[in-house]
Amino acid sequence: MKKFYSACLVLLFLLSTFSTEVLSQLKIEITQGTKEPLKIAIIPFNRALGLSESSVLYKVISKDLESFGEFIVIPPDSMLSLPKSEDEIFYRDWRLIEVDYLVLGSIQNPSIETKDINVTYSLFDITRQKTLYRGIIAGKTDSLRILAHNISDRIYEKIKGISGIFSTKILYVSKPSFLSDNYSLKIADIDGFNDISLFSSTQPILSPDWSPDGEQIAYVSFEKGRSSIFIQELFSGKRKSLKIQPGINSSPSWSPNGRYIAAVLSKEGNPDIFLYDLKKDKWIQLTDHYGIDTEPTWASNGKKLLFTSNRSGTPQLYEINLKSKKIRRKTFEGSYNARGRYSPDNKNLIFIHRQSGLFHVASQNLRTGKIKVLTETNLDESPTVSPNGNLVIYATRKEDRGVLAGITIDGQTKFLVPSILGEVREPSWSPLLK
Amino acid sequence: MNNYYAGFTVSTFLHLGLILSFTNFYKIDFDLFSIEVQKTIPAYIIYEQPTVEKKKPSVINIQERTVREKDKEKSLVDVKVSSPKTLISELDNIINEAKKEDANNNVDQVAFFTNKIRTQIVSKWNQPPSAKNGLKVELNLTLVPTGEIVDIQITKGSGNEAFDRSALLAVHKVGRFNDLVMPRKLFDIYFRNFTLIFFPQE
Repeated sequence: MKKFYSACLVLLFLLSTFSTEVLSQLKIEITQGTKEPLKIAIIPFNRALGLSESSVLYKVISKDLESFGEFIVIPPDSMLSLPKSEDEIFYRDWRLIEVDYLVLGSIQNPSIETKDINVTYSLFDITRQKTLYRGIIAGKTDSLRILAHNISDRIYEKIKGISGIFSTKILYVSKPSFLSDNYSLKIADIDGFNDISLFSSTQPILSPDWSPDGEQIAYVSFEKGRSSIFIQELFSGKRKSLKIQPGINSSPSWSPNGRYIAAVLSKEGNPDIFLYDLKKDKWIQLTDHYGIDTEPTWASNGKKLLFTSNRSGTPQLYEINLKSKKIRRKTFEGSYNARGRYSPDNKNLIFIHRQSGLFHVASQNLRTGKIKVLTETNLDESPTVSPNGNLVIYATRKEDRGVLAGITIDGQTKFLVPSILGEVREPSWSPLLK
Repeated sequence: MNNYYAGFTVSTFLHLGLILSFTNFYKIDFDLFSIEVQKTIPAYIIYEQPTVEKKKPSVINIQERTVREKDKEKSLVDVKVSSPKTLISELDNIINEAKKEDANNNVDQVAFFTNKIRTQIVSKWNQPPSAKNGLKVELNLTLVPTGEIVDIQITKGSGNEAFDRSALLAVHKVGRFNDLVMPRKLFDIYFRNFTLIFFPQE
């Protein structure tokens, strides 16, 4: 009898598989999309209290969202209605002008003397007729740009699913002109506004880098007549030099856990990679090769370091595993690959690649090994990757002037970091700041 | 007792057979045995060639068909003089040929309309930056014959909210597929309900 039942079960099983096959559905795979920017409408923030600041918010948010070609902010005069509150939104009106998202906000000013303001804002998904996000942010009337960048970050994050970087900062070295000897280390908002000088010297300043918490920076200064590495607290301005070693002291790079600074020393004659233990105040040697090893940078997991070495005859990128100390060559295409960085997800390398005599920013997929040249300019230097992994800023020359330019990681949109004057070099993108 | 089991066995197999035949397990095309199919040929051909002027009587359509047939084997004259009986067998041939053609056509047509759907979705899908990381979302769409999407369900999410939303938005933005003019049967089998898999590749 058992045999009979099992036979029945087998038959039933067969039957079920056949019937699902008969009922199986058509499946259509979509592997590509469009790069068309999304259309977003920002209703000018209300001016109930006569604040001219509302237009500042509107302008900064619009400019933020438009800066990397991912959004088009539609001008207010093409809007069919100007809702003041949520109930006044007629989704049909916005669908008609093909808007994807709508931002509606208002400013409350509880007390004019204290300059305190609260901004409430909501993000609407027009296509699905839904509220995507409601936010409130408090600040001062004299820090409206910060408020606006914060709102942009939230909007960006809600729509794109990765962090917005409009509140991050950029660190760079500038001179008034190419021939000048007045070096200053500066920090500015990512749109180039609010630049502050952190340190000035008549001697060169090089390779600034951020601590992972964004509260300190490390850089190389020649103020003592020779290269030495300094770390400086951003808020207090307090600075100190790491133990100076004979020869070159250069290319500091802060570890993701904040404890070490990787750098290049040449105390034994030729440059090698060392780690500086900030807790124990001592140097640990990492590479030992008769070739030049330089420009170390950390993978975001803190387990690997990328560096440039000419041990094979030409500058190429190598990776050292901190645990096993094993070194592996990463780039094989071309005769010059240097100044490498990991993307935040450690899946790509961003570096300077020479192609037919020109220096470009390129990316390499670590899995496939495929190189993609991102920029068309020549003499590109020092790429630095945004903390969300979506953008690269690099130094280049334009109209015979050192400028900071940027490009999206897919190579689609190029932009210039505006409002930064003078001769600019050595950009370094901050981590996400709180 | 034995009798009971025998009855049960017979009934199980009969029912199984019945269920299997419902699911078309035996792949029997019942239309082939139906006499009525012959009556419906003209309409069938008209449907296949909707551009043919409707004023023409349906019989002419058949003749057009036979003319083409003749190119292969027989002369047009043969058809003209043939008795009604041979005409019927002739028709049978045509029907069978058309059926075969149809089966092949089905694959082509499904591919054709699948492509139409794909291009319309692609033009509306704005991939978020996170889309590179091997994410995959499956949506189940329900359509009505006008091409309008009446229901969307996420059947397998990617775990990334922005990515899932981007796929939903693409479908919402399309709202209604254009150019899905097809025989009702084809629509019912393949396009009334289907799955879209969003699966970015570089």
